Amino acid sequence: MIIVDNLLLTKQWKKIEKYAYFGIAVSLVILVAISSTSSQSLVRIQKDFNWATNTREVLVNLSYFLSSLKDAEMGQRGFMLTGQESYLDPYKYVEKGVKSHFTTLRGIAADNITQQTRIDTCERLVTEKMQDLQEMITLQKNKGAEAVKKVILTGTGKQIMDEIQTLVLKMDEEERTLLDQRSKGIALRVKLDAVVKTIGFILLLITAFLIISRENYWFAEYRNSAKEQMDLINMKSDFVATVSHELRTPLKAIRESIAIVLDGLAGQVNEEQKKFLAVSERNVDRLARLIDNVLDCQKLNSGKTVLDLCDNDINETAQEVYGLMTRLAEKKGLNISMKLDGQLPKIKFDRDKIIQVLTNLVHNAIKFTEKGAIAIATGMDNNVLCVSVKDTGRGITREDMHRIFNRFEQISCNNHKKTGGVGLGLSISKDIIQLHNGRIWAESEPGKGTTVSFMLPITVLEKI
Amino acid sequence: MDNKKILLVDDEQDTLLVIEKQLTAAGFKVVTAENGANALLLAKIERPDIIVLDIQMPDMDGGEVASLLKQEPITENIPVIYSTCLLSENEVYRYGENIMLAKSKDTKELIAVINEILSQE
Ligand SMILES: Nc1ncnc2c1ncn2[C@@H]1O[C@H](COP(=O)(O)OP(=O)(O)OP(=O)(O)O)[C@@H](O)[C@H]1O
Ligand SMILES: [Mg+2]
Repeated sequence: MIIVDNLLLTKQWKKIEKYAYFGIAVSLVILVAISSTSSQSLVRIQKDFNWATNTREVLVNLSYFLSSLKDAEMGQRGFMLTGQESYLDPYKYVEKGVKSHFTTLRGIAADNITQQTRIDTCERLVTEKMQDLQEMITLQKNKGAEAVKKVILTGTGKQIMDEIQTLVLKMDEEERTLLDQRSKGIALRVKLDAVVKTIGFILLLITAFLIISRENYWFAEYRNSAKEQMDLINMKSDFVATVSHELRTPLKAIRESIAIVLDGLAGQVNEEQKKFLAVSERNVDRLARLIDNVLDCQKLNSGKTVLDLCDNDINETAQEVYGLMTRLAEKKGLNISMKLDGQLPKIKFDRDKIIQVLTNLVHNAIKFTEKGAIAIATGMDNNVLCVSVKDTGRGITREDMHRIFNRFEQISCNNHKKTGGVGLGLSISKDIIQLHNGRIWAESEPGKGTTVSFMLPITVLEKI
Repeated sequence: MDNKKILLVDDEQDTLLVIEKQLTAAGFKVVTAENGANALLLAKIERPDIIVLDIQMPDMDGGEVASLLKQEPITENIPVIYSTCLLSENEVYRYGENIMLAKSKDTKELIAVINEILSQE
């Protein structure tokens, strides 16, 4: 039976594992996507930033150029009025630097074709202007200020300068809009990057949440759909059916035979004989209890247990268990008491099954308590009925607490401590309480005592 | 012939009750102990000819009892038969003068083994 269980577990685990791997793969893909878009947009931002710096450089260059050109014109005018050569310094400076200046400008404005043509025109105009200036300087030198004045009055020099100025203005405007666009682009990209990251992480969270929440669903789905698994369960319970018949039938015969001899139906029985018949009876009962527990456990486990729900009084049920167990407790010198809440409503539960649970709990309390008292209590709390069995026994350590409701789990306080039983009582009790939609739990202070309690919902249970 | 004395050690009272009756009927004198500590005490006081010892017992198990018996000069030479639920019915283990029998074995078989050991002395 245990081997079959392991097989089921392994299969279910494999199924879950598959989904878990799928989930992890999805998460990885999302992670890779986030980091790649993020690094791409980082590269783009870097580029945009470079271009923006470029634009700024072009602007500075242009304004600088315009002012040196103006200086040159001013200097030339001063020279023409005074004839002093020193006024020509700025002019000479511009003349010398004009070529290299335009090369740099072309280089840094390489990203923009319209600007390139403008730079071409600009260079042509500047050269023209410079020629113009040169001509006038020669004129001044050869023919004097009067001749120059005449030429100036024709206005061609001013016209060229105006043209250059408008052109530079246009270029300046263009670069400014570019700068504006590029800074906006950077801001947009930074925002976009943040948005992509956020969406990515939200997706990641959703995947994680889905994996966790769907796991149970997948588990159940698999349980319902896999045919081979159902076959295994069926095989298991068929086996249980045969075994339970074969175990219980001979036991029944032995029990009844002993009863017949004990009751004197088969002739006179002396005290010595009675003593040994009592030994048999006790031990057959013990064996029968064990067999019942093993088979009950198996039945609960394969989901074949059907509850017989009727309106019942929990106090009356507790009283019945109290009556059944007092003798056992008193034989061990333990005082057993009851504290019942008289105001409890009747609720629907399976009376025999709850008696079984309570008997298990009281039996444990007696078994694991050497001296002191056992108290059974009922009560109501927040629309649930509560029943608890409290003892003053050896208690359960914190580490053992989570194991006691497992099947075949017995906590030994000494090596091979023989307390009877096989560790099924609490597991069966838990299954029965859970079938009722209730809850069972234990609280304990090691060395001082244990309280095992269960609660049953008051509301009518829908179809179980 | 003197009745041979057997110390029977088992933590299950019903087991003691039944085996004691059968051994007595087979002509032995029987003393019983329900735990290891009592067994050690009775072994010294009663000087049994043989000890039938259960292995799985609370507090002190059969192995511990046997090794403590070996440490005392008065008890070290008393032969021990282990009777245990750890074996299934047809298994028998012998090591040295010690014999390990399945508890589920017929008490008649236990008596046969006891007689075999006693006759060797
Ligand atoms: N009232 C209690 N005080 C101390 N320990 C307890 C108590 N109830 C249960 N336990 C511990 O929990 C273990 C499991 O209990 P459970 O009733 O399932 O098995 P069991 O009583 O040992 O055997 P079975 O019920 O099959 O006869 C016990 O072996 C014991 O160690
Ligand atoms: Mg129990």
